[in-house]
Amino acid sequence: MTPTPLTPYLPLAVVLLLAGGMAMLIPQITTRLGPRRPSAIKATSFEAGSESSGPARQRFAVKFYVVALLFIVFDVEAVFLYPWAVNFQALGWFGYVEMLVFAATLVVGLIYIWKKGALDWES
Amino acid sequence: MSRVLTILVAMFTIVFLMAGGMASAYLVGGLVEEHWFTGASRLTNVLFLVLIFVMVIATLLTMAERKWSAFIQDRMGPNRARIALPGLKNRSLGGLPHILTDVLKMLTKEDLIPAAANRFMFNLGPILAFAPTFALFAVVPAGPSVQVFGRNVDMVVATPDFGALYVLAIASLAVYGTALAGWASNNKFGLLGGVRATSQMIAYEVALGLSLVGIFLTFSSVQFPAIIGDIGNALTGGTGQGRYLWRTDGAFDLGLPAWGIFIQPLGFLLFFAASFAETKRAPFDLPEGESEIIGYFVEYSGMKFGLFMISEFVEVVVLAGVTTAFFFGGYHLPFGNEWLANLPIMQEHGWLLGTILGTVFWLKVLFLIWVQLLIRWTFPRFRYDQIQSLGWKILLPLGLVNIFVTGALVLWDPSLRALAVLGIAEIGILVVLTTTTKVPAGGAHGAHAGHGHDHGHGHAHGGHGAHDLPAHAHGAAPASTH
Repeated sequence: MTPTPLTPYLPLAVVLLLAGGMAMLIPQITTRLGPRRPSAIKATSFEAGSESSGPARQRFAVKFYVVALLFIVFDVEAVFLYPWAVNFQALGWFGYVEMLVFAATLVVGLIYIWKKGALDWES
Repeated sequence: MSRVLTILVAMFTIVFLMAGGMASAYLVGGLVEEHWFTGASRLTNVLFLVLIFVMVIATLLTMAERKWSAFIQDRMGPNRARIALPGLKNRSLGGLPHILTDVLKMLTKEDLIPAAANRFMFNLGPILAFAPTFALFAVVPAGPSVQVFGRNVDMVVATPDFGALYVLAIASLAVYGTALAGWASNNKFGLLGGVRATSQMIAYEVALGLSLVGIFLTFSSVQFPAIIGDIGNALTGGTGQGRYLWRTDGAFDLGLPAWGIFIQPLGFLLFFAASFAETKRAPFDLPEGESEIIGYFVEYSGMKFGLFMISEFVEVVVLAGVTTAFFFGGYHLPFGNEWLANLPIMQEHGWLLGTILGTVFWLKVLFLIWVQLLIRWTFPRFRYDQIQSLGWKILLPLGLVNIFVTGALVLWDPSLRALAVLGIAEIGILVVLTTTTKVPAGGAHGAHAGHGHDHGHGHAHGGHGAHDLPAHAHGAAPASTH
């Protein structure tokens, strides 16, 4: 087999296919082996004592969306840090100060949202 | 006395089985390299590392967790299932037959889909939760590259250029599974678990990403082989975590290895805490909260639930493996690496060296799994607001501080010795705080001792830990007493 630039990724592709295949096939065993006696009461949503009213797809707390927004901001920062970290020793003090300035602007943002109360869950 | 003997026999069996597994992985790898094609050992590594080692450890972990929780809570734990064979009929075998009965039970359950659920999304949930965690271990090297039958055999499935970023990227895909499962169930408990899981996982994703930057810039790489490094000799000194910061000159090399735990103890704490939150296990099990909302998998039955469960245990194994590779020197011994590699028998039979070092890797992994079980069954569950403020207000700022303190010290002293001095000082502060902080009244004493230690070194970095920890102990102490 002649090696191509993609050869190192072949085992990775095998693992990913295997993972997807196993995840799809294993639940099928239950579907085949298990009994099938459907009833109206089994098909209702699970509840613990009191019957649930209405569908679950209603509006829920906006706090969860705020976390998602903060995640985008700070995870993109982390993405910028990886290539910097790999070249860190080549860039030296100049690169260090550059990244310090970049991170400082984000820290200002963190302080702002902290003071605004976006990080306080109970409010 | 017989109990001690049982434990010794069990430990010997575990080491023996792992050494056997690694030896066969190397020998089969050498055989297929010779008779099939170059690089074929990578494919047998899929079988040995991902399918056998990770999956078997994860399966056994389902029982280890129940036994360990029983031990902590002063119970017997599962011991009723028996194998109906002569000689085994009256033995509980440490509860091992329960694994078999659990699997049989899950496979033969009725596959229930609630009428209100979205069928396609409902079926997709467990697939998206399991597949990414299963594929995670592919980039973690479990042993050194050695010559077997004259062919080079690597004990890793793939060594892509993006290395550790693969782990971060694929691990974050699992959040789709939990979010989708919670939403598609169309159940209020499920939805609440799903949004809690999503929110928690992405909040800790940030801290997780930042905690590893210190390691990346110290070793100037994101690739596992470069971070684990190679051992050298007294002249070349090795690379990555395979080298020594200080070492003796004798034939038997003894010294302080450049392991992540010594040069990045704060990074280790942040990484371990953040990835523990990613596994959604107690004290971060809010999405599940089995006594409250049951969670995003409340509507799942049979093997679909089984996939959620096993992916949690696979995550535990992978987390231990990745932590070993980044912070505990991968497959390297803490001392005597060069002495071992230079023995004539090791030079002659590469697979023997690989087997020994591979077993060392799996022993470190087992130790870290045990630490995770210990945390899982010792700490009470956090409140959700505590989880969010721990992630954003403590781990994120500490992660940023860690990056820039580490960066300054690496530039100041590229031999990493300054970093190691700071690291060992941090570990010392943590040990002092942990041993002197018992009750809230003693917490003040612990903070005082920490300050005294801190002044001696005069690092702003250590000061952070000293201020932070007593507050944490204050919060945890009353909860753990009831």
